[in-house]
Amino acid sequence: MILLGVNSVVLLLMVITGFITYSSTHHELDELFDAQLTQYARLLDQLLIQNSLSLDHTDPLIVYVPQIAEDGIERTSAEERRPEGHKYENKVAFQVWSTDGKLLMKSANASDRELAPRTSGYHEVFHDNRRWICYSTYNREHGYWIFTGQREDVRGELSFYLALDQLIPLSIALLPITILIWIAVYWGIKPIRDLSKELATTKPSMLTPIDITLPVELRPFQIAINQLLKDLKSYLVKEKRFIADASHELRTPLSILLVHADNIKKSTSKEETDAAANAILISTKRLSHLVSQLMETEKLEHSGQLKLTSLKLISLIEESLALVDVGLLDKVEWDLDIDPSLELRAEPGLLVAALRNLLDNAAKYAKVQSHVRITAHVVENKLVLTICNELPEGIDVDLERMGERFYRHQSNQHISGAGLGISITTKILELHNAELSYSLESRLVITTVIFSA
Amino acid sequence: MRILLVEDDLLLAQGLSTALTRMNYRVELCTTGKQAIQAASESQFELMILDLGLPDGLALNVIKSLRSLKHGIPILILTAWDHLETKIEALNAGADDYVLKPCDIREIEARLRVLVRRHQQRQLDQLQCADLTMDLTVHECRYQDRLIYLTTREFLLLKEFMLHQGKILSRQHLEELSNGWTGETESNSIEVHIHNLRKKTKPECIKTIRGIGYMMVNQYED
Repeated sequence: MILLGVNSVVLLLMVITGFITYSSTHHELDELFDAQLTQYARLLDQLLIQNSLSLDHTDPLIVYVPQIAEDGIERTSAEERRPEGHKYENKVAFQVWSTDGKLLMKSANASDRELAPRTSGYHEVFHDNRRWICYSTYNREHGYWIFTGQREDVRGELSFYLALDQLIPLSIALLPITILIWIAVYWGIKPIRDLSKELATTKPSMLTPIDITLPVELRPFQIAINQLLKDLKSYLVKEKRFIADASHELRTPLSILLVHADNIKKSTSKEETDAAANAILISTKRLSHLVSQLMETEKLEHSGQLKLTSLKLISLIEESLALVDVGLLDKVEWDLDIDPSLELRAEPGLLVAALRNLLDNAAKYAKVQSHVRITAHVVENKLVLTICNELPEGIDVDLERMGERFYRHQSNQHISGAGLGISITTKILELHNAELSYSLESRLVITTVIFSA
Repeated sequence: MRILLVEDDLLLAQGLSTALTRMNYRVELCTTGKQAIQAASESQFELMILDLGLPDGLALNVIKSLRSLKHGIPILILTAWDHLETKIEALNAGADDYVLKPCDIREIEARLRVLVRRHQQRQLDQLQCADLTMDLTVHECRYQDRLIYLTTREFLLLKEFMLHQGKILSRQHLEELSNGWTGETESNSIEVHIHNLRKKTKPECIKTIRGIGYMMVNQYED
């Protein structure tokens, strides 16, 4: 396609060049030949004056013009120059007429009719279906008209050949030019071909960056593709990890359902049936909770930039507290120590969900009727929110692994949840440019969220 | 046959235990790797069902520890981890089989029998001691071609004797087998079960070794 396009452009340029050359040459020749016609007429006039042409002759004086036929055979200029003259003499003619309309003198190839109108100057006239450019001049003193003329086709032919002479070498050069263009295009687009080959062989499962040397012009393209491949790879890894994690987490509750369903089928006592039914119920709830949290996590994994608005922290905490389960809400005493003027930029829906998770966990992992203390203050332009809860006896936490997806401490397996709540919260806080951390002082768990300004 | 089930999910452990008990297995439960190593070292089990994701870390260390102690107990991994590398690592560490959750209990039980059979270098699930035959596949026992009815504990004890013919089984082992860790512990319960077994089969088939335990003699006079 590139080759076809380039050749078309070259051809078009040649046609335009030819036309311009033809027009320009034609114009220049017109001027030259017009001047010649005038000079012929003046020369003839001077000769006639000097030789005292008798106007009393009965017959006009005929000037010989050799009759050389145009046989269409191409000859060199030297060959065309014959002793008797040139074939082109036929294309130039002149006449001298007396004022009273008598033909006094003419070239042999001129007709007996007046060559041009009796008006001084240049004229375009037709004789024998041919266009002639003529010049008329009047000698007032001696009383005669001189007409000189030239066939127009001479000029056209000459212009055509001159233009052609210029185009022929170009036309001859077209084939090598085409071949050279093809070679240039072939080598020029080689990096694109290599890139295309590399992309075609890239397996969706591999997505390795394109590591080939490309010209400077293609580097930005290569960088963009590699960035895209990198993003795709990271997306696929995330998806894979999510599926692996999800399938791993789903397998155990599914096993429970399978085993207990089988137990119900084969049970021989009401106690056995009730125990199996109860296990199925618990496992179904666990599954349902797990699936909804998985969906939530998945949504967050692909969240882009959040639409943040300025909000009062106290309002967000109150809203989050209102969402905590009533049982948990009543389980502990809530102490709030937050300056009502403190504000932060947040996406209210998501941040409330995250704070609710933190408060929920604080109550869940707190001693019955103990105090859960929520405080906030500004340190070095950063808003620091802390939630403290006292761990009940027999409950332990592994601070290093908290926030890890699906992690729950061994001593807390009986507490409902799939270990996803904190991981979702961490993700939401990350999106809010906030950092979540935990510390343990004696039996007091301190959850700290630092919102960067 | 005693099985040590190592599973931290209590709901699943409870279900598996119920199902396997119904199939005449004595199931003891551990929820951590540490407990499992201790239990396997202190008591006698025919097989271990091990979950890989235990609260005190990946259970591969449990397998490695047992094998380093030259403990030959067959280990069946029952886990939700389906990574190829984990499977290979577990089998290389000394696990005997790898089953992915969720799995039908019948498949688990069949695999248990295969493992025990292989461990005891048997080719069949039919045990024989003179006129006494036991089919482990269908959990049936016949004496002189006559089907005999056995309670769960009697079946467990007789299976243990038939699996270890000519070997003395300690009273403590038989008690653990019969009662489990959480069962009743009447001191004469074993005597009662042995008495019943002798009555239902041949009195001479189970010999009392005073002060030690009992032994099934594989050649006795009819």
